[in-house]
Formats: sequence, structure tokens, C-alpha cells
Amino acid sequence: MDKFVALTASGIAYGAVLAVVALGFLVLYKATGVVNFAHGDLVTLGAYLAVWTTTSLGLPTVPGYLAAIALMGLVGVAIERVAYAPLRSRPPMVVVIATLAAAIVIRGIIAVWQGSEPKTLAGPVGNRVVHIAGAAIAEQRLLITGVAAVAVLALLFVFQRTPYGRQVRALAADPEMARLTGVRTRLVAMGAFALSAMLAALAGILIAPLGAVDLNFGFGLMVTAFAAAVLGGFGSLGGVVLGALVIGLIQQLFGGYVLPDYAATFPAIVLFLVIAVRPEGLLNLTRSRL
Amino acid sequence: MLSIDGLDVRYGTTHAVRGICLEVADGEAVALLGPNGAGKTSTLRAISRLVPSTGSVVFDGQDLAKVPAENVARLGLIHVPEGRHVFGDLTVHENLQIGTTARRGRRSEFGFDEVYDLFPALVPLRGRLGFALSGGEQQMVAIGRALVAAPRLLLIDEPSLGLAPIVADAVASALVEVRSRTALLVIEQNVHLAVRVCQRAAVLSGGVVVLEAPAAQLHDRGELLASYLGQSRTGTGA
Amino acid sequence: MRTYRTLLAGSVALMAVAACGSGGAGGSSSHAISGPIKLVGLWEVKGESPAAIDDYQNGAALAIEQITAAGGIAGKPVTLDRVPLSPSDPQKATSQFLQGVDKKPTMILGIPAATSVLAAKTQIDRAGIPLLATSSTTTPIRFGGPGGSKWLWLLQSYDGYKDQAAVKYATETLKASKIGLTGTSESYGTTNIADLTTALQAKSLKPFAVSKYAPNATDVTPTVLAMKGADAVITFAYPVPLAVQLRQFTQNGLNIPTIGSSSTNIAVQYKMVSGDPLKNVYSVVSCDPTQGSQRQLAKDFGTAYQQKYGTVPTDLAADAYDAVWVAKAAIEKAGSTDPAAINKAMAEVTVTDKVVCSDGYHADGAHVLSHDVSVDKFATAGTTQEIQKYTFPVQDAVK
Ligand SMILES: Nc1ncnc2c1ncn2[C@@H]1O[C@H](COP(=O)(O)OP(=O)(O)OP(=O)(O)O)[C@@H](O)[C@H]1O
Ligand SMILES: [Mg+2]
Repeated sequence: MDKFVALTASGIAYGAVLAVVALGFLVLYKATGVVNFAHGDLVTLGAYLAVWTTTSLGLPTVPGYLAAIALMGLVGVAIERVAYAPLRSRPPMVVVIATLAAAIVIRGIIAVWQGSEPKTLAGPVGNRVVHIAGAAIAEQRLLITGVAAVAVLALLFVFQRTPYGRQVRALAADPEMARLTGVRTRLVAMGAFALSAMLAALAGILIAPLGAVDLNFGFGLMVTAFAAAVLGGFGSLGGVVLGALVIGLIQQLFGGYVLPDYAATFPAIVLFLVIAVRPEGLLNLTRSRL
Repeated sequence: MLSIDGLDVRYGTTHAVRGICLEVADGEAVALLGPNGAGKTSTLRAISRLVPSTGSVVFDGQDLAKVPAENVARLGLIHVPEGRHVFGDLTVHENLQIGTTARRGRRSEFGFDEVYDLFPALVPLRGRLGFALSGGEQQMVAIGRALVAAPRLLLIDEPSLGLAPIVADAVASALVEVRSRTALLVIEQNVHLAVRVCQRAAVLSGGVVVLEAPAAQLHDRGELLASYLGQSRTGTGA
Repeated sequence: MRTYRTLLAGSVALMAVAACGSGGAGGSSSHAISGPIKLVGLWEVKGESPAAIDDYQNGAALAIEQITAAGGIAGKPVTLDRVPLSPSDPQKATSQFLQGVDKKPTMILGIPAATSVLAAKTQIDRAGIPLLATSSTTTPIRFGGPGGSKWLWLLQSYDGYKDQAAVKYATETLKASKIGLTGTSESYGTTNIADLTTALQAKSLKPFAVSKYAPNATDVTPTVLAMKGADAVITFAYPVPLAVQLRQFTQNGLNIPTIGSSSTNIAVQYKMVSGDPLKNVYSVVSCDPTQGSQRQLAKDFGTAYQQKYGTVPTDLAADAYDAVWVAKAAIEKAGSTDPAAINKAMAEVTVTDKVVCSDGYHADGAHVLSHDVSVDKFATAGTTQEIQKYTFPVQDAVK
């Protein structure tokens, strides 16, 4: 029983972070049609920025985190200006390749700035644990779950209830018609780049205190989050959140009970299966509003 | 209000619109008629800056040549495109809400309530997603979405296309209502409807304006019109 | 650190290099030592790549300084030249090695990653200049292996000995019999887990449990739960997930003695783990040049290094330092700058003077010079104490 509780708790925390990564990915895709393969490196950059604000700038943990997230908003805008705006009218494939180039550039900049040695990010709750049904669960994992849940709900609210959210959805559905209703596509795109980068930073900051940050830190998360997004139908935000939780839980429970050696490969297998068998996404049973 | 002079639209080697001139005065409703492929849609898309064109398009004293499409809408020149383009992932009401994006402080003749009054059929559909609407319902949403933007001139491309006569009639009635509050430029194949809504008509064929006349005279010149429209029956009842 | 960077490089798929090509230059008869002696180091200094560090150059330069002060090699002056060679870029190793050859050195030292050594194998065969590699000594680059060469000598003790040392310490000193094995689910973790299993079998033991995790894991709950009930755990993992594992043991109230690889030293050095999770942690390493070492020579080196550079030396600095001293001994034994004579001397010489990482370097049939493995114990403050040293038997050439 305690084993099941421990594995479930860690699966949910992992799924929550995946959801934040995947939503960042999706926000940008919806607003601009760009599948941004630099997203994982934005996760990495966000974590490094938080290391920088809390150590080099000496800010306390939480203000340091918030400063890093705000900085990542500016980074998002800068990427829109430098890498996306000039390619706006190019075919999607060109833009996707440009995001790969952006990923390499970001990684190179981090390496020059911070070196390639791993860094640690202090967490606000340290190594404390709580015991639930006999299972020891790190407080950082509860914090991750809570903060991610708030972020996801806030994002769903923005998408569902605010003019900006409607504009992004309109843009995703029919870009030309969106312009005819006066939607300023460039501003919306810029906002989406900023929002997406901030979500990436949040995910990085949530999970970094559990391990350490190095140059490859965000890449693996992005790949797994991509699998979650595809599982969720790559469109509906709610579906993606569900997909992320399913992947997180299956990876931990599968890894804990059945085939431990293959736990890490599992998201990739899911990705293949979904693309091959049910490209519209396992969870996308009806066309969703979100 | 809108003044088009020497407008040309080319798609590669296709010369779709050939130097047409057209005026829409304040408060006026003008019909744009013509056979398939005449260049009607191209003209409207050029006005809204969705396709590149040469020649001048002046709206309310402002040359639109360098204005991006979203800002044309924000000036109050609102385009209801061919095929309606209701946002499928948004509900009926959200489609109306997004229409207000272009309003920009202009006082609107039509709020959400007025739109629901104009199209009572939409009231029970408020929460339904756009992709689940019928063609007529979509047309109502598309017009409603344009009305809440506080249009100063509405461009409407084939509002009755594909609609059952009774639905087309309801749309026409709504447009008559709208005409009293905003200027209109309507593309319409259904001459009967065009005559009912508009005071004046221009007939486009092969990318040039071949006939301009007060709508009332279209009845009298049915035969001529029929030859331009390439129709055996013009629907004027003549 | 070595491990970390080598591991990064190693995560690139290992290329099997066909074993072919015969020894190159025959060498002329007699080159009695006349002019200055030139050594070339194949390593980077800071700024040459994002990951570059000064440790190798610093260690080697300190040795050159001490040798010069004492009258040079065989009474002749000695110079140290350098070609930057990045550990994370094995594809470039061949051309960088050739640049080193172009400088016409008496001997070549360095190459920080075993994958780079493997990649440069053909050129090492052809160049006909003795190369003393400071990379870790992996299975394929030993003499007779697919990456081995007549001209290639390996400073560090064999990787497989670290597995044996871990098992020996767990069973003999910790008296453990239920030994769990954990590691990363790529080649580093999996090969070591296989070797550890073999080493356990040699003692008629089976692993208590085996659990692997991804190199980028931030949550190893399944592994931690699988190790419940073990009386020792041996871990060969990358530093980041290793730190996660140590922390999660503590969080789950487990205090099982854990023996790690040099990844543990890296994880501690970079403060990925500190305090309580270090309470019962050991590591098996080929060299510990800190003040926690049992060897006076290592302490002397540490003091001199600290004085010259203002930092504590790493094992990488110690390796480069030792390499220079081994080269000196071999050239003096050969009494000549003839490459063939030096290569022959490399096989025969025993080096105990000044060296830090071994009680005595002496090549075996597999061209491996060190047979020592140390066991470090960590304090919660993050310092290490060398608490055990094993010397393993020499090996024959690989068949
Ligand atoms: N995107 C395009 N690319 C190339 N040619 C086009 C394009 N759009 C329209 N055309 C061509 O331009 C000409 C005018 O088309 P347009 O759509 O303006 O006609 P229309 O009067 O609206 O016709 P309909 O009554 O069928 O809607 C046609 O010959 C059409 O084939
Ligand atoms: Mg048309």
C-alpha cells in the first residue's frame, strides 16, 4: 500500500510538471502554428536563470524564481523578434528547423555563460518529507503538484474566459478570419512566445531542486511532454493535462511494478503507438472546446 | 466613405480584377453582382488587404494601401467573408465576443442583445460550438459577429449562398434592418435579394464593371442583366 | 569530474573500430639524448570549449616546473607543448592527435576521454610515438583490445577493478550479503551492473535487487523502494540521478551504506548532495589527491598545487602530473629519444618517485600502469577520507 501511494504521488508530481511543459508547447502552437523544438532548452534556460538570480544576484528563493520567470518572458519576446518574426511568411518546415537552430543557440549561450558543469537550485522546502499512508513523500513534490495545478487552472481560465484566450483560439482555428475580426496576430504571437517561455521556466524551476541542472536538463522533459501532448490529442488543453498525468503515473507505476528497466523508454513507446494507431490522440474522444 | 479607383488584382498570370472604380457613400447600400469568376470576392479581399492589389482604396479619407488587414477591421471596415468562417472551436457567444475586438471605442449600434434580437434563432444556441451549426446559423453568427464590431461599412460576400429560401429571406430581412444603421457593400448572386437590400448595384464581369444602376432599374433591365450574369433566369421575377 | 565528462562523451554510441593496421615507424637505431625534450599534452585549457578546464595543464605544468628545478630529464631541459582536445568531441580526436604528432614530440600525454582514444586508434598505430593516455581505462582500449595499440599506455587503473573493489569493500569490510545494484540505464550503468553481478557471483552471491533509472531522472522512487531490506547498495550512475538517489534514500528513512563511483565525488563537489544523505556513503576511485589521502606524496602534491594555483587539485590534475613523471622515468630509462626505445622502456619501468595516484606505476600485459583503487568515505560536510586501498593483480594482453 505504501509503495502504491509513494509511486502514485511521484507519478502525479511528475505528470504535473509534464503538463506545464506541454501546455507551454501548446500555447505557442495554437497562437502561431509553430512546433517549438527549442522549448526544452527554454526549460533549461529558465532553471539556469533561477540559479543565477538566487545565487549570483542573491535574491531569496521565491522572489528569485519570480524574477527568473519574468526574465524568461522577455526571452520569449526576444525569440519572437529574432527567430520567428522574420520567418513569419515561410513554410512551417522552415520555421521548425529554425526552432532547432534556436535550441542549439540557447544551449551554446548557456554553456558559455554558465559552463557545462551541473548546477543546483535551492528549493523553498529543502529535503523535508511528509508521511501519507506510510509513504514518505518529499514536500517539494507536493509543492510541485500544487503550483502546477494552480498554473494549469490559471492558464485554462485565461484561455477560456479572457479576450486574449479567445483571440489565441480564434487564431488557431482560422488565422485569416481572426485578422478580419481585428485580432493583432503579431501581438498575440509575441504574447504567446512570452507566455510559453514563462511556462517553460516555471516547469524548470519546479523540478530542478529535485536533481541538478545541466545543459540537457530540459530536453528529456520536452520529449516526454511531447508524448503527453500527442496522447492528449495535441490541441485540447484539458486533454493534454490528462495525457501528462497518465504518462507520469504510468511511468512511475509501470517502472515500480512491471518493467523497471523500460520505464524511461515508455513515453517514447506511447508516442509511437499513438501516432501509429490513433493519431487524433487517445483522450480526444470528442472534439473539445478547450 | 469608400472610394476605389483603378483597382487591379492579379494571381500569377490570372488578372482577376482589371482597374475597377467604385464608390460607396455614407449610409448607402450597394450590391455587387456578377457571374462566377467575375472577380467579386477578389475585389472585397483587396479592399480588406487580404490580397495584394494595385490602384487606390480610400476609406473615410485614409488610403488603405499600407494598412494591415487587422487594422482595416479596426477602422470599422468589417468583412463577412465568403463561406462565413465562423470559428469552429468557439461557441456562438464567443464568436460574437471576439467580434468586439475591432470595435475600438466606436459607439456600437449593435450589442449582443441587439444581435440576439435580430436573430432570435441564435438565442438557444449561445453555448454551441461553431462547427456544430447549420449553414444558416453560421451566416447569422457571421453577420452578428460583424455587427458587434461597430461597423461603419460592412462588406458581405454572398450571404444567401447555400441557404434555403426561407432562411435566405430571414437573412435579407436582417440586412434591411442593418442597412438603416450602417453602409453596406454586398456581393449577391440572388438579384431578388440584392434589390431588396440595396439602393444601387454594380455588375462585374471579367474583372471590369460592366453596368452600374440604381437597384430599382434592375427590374427593368432584366434581360441585359441576365446576359451579363449568364443566367437564363435572373430571379428578378421579370 | 572525469567521470562526468567521460560519461557525456560515452553517451555517444561507442564505435567499434576495426582492429587493423600494424605498428608504424620502425625507428632508427640510436638517438642518444641530445637536444631539449619535448612533451605534448592533448587537453584543453579554459575558454577553448564551453566545458574546458585548466586542471590537466596545471597539473602537468607543476610537474615540469619541479623537474626543471631539479635539473630536467636526463640533465636536458624539457618543454611542454599542447594541442586542445575536447573530451566531448571524439570525432575530432584523430585530427587533434595528428596535430600533436606534427609538433614532433618525444612523447604524447593526455586525451581525456576513452572514446577519443578509441577514435584515434589507427593514427596512434601509425604515428609511432608513445602515447600515455590519461583517460579512464575502459575494456576496449587495453592492449590487444579493438582500441588498443602497441604505442598506447594507460595511466589509470582498469575500470573493472572499481567494480571488484566495490564488491570487496561491501562484503569484506561492511560484511554485507544482501547487496543491491543500481545505476543509469545506459552503457555506463548497465556495463558496470553486469560487471558487478559477475564480481558478486565470484563470491557466490546474487544481487539482492537490481534497479536502473534514466540518466536525467529526477525521481527514483521505484529504485529506492526496491532497495528496502538490502544491507549495502552499489551504484554506478551519472552524478545528477545519483544525488537524487542518495537524497531519496534519506527522505524515505533508509540509511543503507551506498558505494558509488567517482560520480559521487562529482555530485558532492558540485553540491548536488550534502548533509544527512552523505552519512553512509563511499566511493571507489582511482585517485584521491585531497588531504584525505593516506599517501604522503598525494598530500605534498596537494600542498604544492594549492600554493601555485590557489585551489584544491582534482584527480584530473593529479593524473596529468603523474603522466609527466612517468614520461620522465621512461625517457631516462631508455637513455635515448628514440621512440621505439622509449616505448620499450614504458613496458619495463616502475615509477614510484613523486607520483600521486599509485604506489607504483608499472605496465602489465594489457598496457595498464596502475592497479590501485581507493575507497573514499564521505563526511556530511562533503570532505572525503581515503579509508581503504586495494591493489589488483596485473593483467595479460587481451585476446
Ligand atoms: N487565390 C487565387 N489564386 C489564383 N487564382 C484565383 C484565386 N482566387 C481567385 N482566383 C481567380 O480569380 C478569378 C476571380 O475569382 P473571384 O473569387 O474573385 O470570383 P467571384 O466573382 O467571387 O466568383 P464566385 O461568384 O464564383 O465566388 C477567378 O478566375 C479565380 O479562378
Ligand atoms: Mg466569390
